[in-house]
Amino acid sequence: MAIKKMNKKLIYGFIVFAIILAVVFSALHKWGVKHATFMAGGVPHPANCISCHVYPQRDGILANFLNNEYLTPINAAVNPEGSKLYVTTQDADLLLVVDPFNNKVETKIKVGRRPHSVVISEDGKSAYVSNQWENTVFIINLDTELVTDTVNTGGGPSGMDLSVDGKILYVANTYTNDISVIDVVQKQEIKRLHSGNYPKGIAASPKGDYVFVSSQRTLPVKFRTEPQTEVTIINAHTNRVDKRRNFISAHIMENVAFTPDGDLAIITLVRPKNLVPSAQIERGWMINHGIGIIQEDGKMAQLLLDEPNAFYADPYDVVVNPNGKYAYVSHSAADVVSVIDLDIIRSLLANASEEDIKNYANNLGLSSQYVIKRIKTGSNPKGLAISPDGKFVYAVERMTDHIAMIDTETLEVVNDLDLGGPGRITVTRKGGQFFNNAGHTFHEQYSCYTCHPDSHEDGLTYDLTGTGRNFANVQTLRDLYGTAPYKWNGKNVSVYMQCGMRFSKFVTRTESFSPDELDALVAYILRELKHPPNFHDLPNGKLTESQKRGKAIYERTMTTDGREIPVKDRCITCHNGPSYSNFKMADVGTKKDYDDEIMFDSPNLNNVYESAPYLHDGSAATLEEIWTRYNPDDRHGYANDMTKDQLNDLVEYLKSLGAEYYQEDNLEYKVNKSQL
Amino acid sequence: MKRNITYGALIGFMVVDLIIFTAGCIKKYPHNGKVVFTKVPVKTVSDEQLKSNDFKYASGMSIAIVEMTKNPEDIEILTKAFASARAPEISYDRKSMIFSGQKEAGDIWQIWQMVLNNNELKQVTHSDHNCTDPVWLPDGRVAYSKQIEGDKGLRYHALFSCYSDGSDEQQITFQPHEDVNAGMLNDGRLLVNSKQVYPEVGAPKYLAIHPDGTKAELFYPAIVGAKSMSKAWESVNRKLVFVESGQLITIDFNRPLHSRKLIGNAGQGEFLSAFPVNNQHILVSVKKPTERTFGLQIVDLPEINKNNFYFNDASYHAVEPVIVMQRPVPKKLPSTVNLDKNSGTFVSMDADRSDIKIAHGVTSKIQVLGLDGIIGETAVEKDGSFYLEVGADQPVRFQTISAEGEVLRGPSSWMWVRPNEQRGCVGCHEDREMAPENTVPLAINNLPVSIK
Repeated sequence: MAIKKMNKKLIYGFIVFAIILAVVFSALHKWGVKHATFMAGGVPHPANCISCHVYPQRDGILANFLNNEYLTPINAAVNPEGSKLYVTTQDADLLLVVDPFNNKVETKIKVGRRPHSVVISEDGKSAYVSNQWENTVFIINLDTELVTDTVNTGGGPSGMDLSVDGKILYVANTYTNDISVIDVVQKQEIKRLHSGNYPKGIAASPKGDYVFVSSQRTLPVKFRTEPQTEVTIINAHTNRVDKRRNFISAHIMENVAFTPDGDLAIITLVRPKNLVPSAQIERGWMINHGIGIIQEDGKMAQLLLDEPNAFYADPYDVVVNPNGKYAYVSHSAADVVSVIDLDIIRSLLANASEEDIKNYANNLGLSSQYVIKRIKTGSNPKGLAISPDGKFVYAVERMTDHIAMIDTETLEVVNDLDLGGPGRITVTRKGGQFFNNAGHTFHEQYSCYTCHPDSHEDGLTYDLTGTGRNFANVQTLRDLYGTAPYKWNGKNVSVYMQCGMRFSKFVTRTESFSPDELDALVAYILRELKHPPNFHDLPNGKLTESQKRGKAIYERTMTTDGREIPVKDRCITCHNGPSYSNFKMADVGTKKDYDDEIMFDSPNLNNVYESAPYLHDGSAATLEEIWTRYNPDDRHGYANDMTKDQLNDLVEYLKSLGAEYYQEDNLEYKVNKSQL
Repeated sequence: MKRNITYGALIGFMVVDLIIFTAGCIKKYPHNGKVVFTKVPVKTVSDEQLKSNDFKYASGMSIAIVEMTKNPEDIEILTKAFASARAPEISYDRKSMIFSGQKEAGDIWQIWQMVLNNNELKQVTHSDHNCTDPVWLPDGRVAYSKQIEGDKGLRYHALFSCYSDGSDEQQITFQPHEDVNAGMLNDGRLLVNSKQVYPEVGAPKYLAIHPDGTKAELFYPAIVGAKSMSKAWESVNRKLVFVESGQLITIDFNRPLHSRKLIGNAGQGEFLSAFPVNNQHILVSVKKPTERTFGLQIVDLPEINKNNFYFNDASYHAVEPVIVMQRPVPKKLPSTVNLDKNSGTFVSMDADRSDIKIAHGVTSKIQVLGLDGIIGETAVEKDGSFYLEVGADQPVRFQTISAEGEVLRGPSSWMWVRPNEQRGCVGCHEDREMAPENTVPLAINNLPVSIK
């Protein structure tokens, strides 16, 4: 009887407990859905805690379990026999030696941090690998497959090419805007030449006279005027800069290639419409994609690879068939390789007036004349390599860890080379595929990468409201975790909100991301996108004397004449902590007549040296201009008491600000480097 | 032995599962793969009416369904409860059909929805004016053409949309045009067959329009002399298939203005409507030279050389065929329309950028015309740009005026803006394949000139 009573009590207790649990769960779930939907900017989002609180984590057991280490290949080169393919992998720091005909990765050679490009010597005995996050080029003996030498370069070495005689290696140093000229016999840098802004691609002309270097970012231009991006032309005989040719209203010129007889230099490029009020996206009102041409006689032209209702975003690499008749361009956000008939382009240009050339740059219908095929590839095709006999083009699929092998006769992918990355596609990886794909914009006109190349920013200011007001300077996406709010006006409390409903109305202008897609995209942005190491200090990891003086100014509490600076007017007040931001809104007197907002979010300052132009509207072309032109009343920090030298010191210090997690790493590297 | 029994049992289970699954599918989609079409009695509609798309409200029409076999016999009428019905369209999930129908003779034509596995009917619109040519929007709403009586005694059709229960009806086109036979593009825009009726009758053309009525722009103009165009359908490989004055045509979605391709030749018959089955085949309504009526046929792309499916009945025309099949849902485009506002803006980069070359002067002013004449005007900037705020949901046209007051170009085609809409133009009657030059139009430096 007692047991029965007990059982009854237990049952009642259980029922009451279950009811309470159900009520609490229901209330929590309701709150969770509301919270998730709000944080996602109005996109109805299921209450899935893991989405926001685990996927974006960089460390921890769960984060490690949910994520994989991918290879992320980016560029490739073929040996002179055409029998082997050498592939650099950004995330695994490897050079892979691949047998493309037997689908086999033969060797994995450990190289430096974030390898970018690989070049093979004409005799096929040496490979040169640029290590973008380490400021070195490795020389590898391909017989022994060992790294034999290291050559120091400028910051962020990326594209490379050998001179026609094979004695000089030219390296584009992306972060320091220069070009290393390396004597490959002496194995040392013999010269450093000033380049355009963010040099990326590099190619030696076949006749051996010139080396062309394409840049990613515009040169500093007057506020609200067309971007101008430089191709630096080096005289290969004197190794001096011969000319600087600017493509107008173009940028992100990632790579360059010559035709075999040198009559055309072909450069991939993007044509932004950042000055045009973005009243619409139809008919190419936001961003177009194409190639730049420099003819042997110096004439320049820009030709689009888009079509009126179909865009082929983010052209990345270009190679030319040895027969000189066809060029192949990878569109990394469209997952296609365009095949271009060069004879048609030659004929178009030969008969074109200046007015025609001007019109060609905006003509979306023209590509149907010279693009003869769009070859579908896997996700995010980046580097291209062509076999010496011209029979195969290899497209490196950065987001699949595969390589598409294209037969240039049939213009079909004939082999899908698996480089051996993890088979599982994680949520974060899926996010990487979304980030680097234009499928989520109207007519696939642009990807996240288009305005945020290398996960950073494109250095442009856009009229996104379409009203000639509230211009927005594109901000970096690196190291965003824990730096809310987002947007210059601080209206977005999360990256989910940033990429949510309003984003689809004003930026992508097509169907908004689904909750799963949004989870993946945000996880990728928050977890994967990092600043490169900042090497703007001495090789031993110490600040320069100028930077030390600048640091003192940055942290000062007194004016130069001994008065106390109000707390609100000190640099360190708003720009403190690991990201050098207090994440608060401030009125620093930068509002213009065309702005509706007065308060702006205090931006993060890590790697600020590579974020020009500055301020919310991009009106300050340089860091200096923030104080020399846009701070007349000392509202953006007390600064007008400084001498020019002091301002220089402050700027030098600001340029040295970098992500905290690199500091030990960098120190170790720099100490090692200083011992070389 | 044991292993064999295990394998046998496993295979048995799989077969049973397959049967159950297939039966479930058949029950859910009993008409999957069949052809649905409009039967138009020869007695009530003439050939000429058919060819000129003038049979929208004819009597005695019905919607039928038939297996896609050679010489099909079992033709089932789906709309027995209607005095007349036509314009069937199947939902993307192939579960239901919408169509326009007249319940009793003399009734107003309304839009109806029918669940295909039980023929259950639901009235979508409850309009005082005839509604026709329904099309599913990707968000579950329905767009359709509605007869309206406009100013100046004009009668034409405008596009409307509403939820499938008829609520929240909104007009989405605002021009004196016959806007009919709308279809969907996979990019989420409506493709409407539009023909000006005032001040003079124009040639038919396809306009691409966002489902909220914004961003209407020319997609494809009929060739000179063409009098009618059917509803256009986009195939999976981004080709648009339609009939233009009796000819079967495809154009590329990517470049619609310069990719017109004629399929077949006149000897193969006269076409009325077309529906892409897949990348290789089109289902067409065709009148062969030897026949008296329009029948149905599957034809191959790019050439018409096979008769996989064909039937023809001398007593009626078989038109507007569609297939009960799953189709990709087009993109759901976000809307920036704000019904609390009463205007939108036009920004033009350069009024003198035009295909219509003139030798006498440059534009000094822009005049905005409504149905009753000039509404207002504004000076253009030195760079030819202008920026206007115009009353929403009203038809307007533009014309460019020289410093001497002479009309240089125009009037343009009719346009409109929805509340809060922003529209951009590269020029005036410019090459429509040109993207804008990357410059700041001077006009945008000031607030828009208000013309309402």
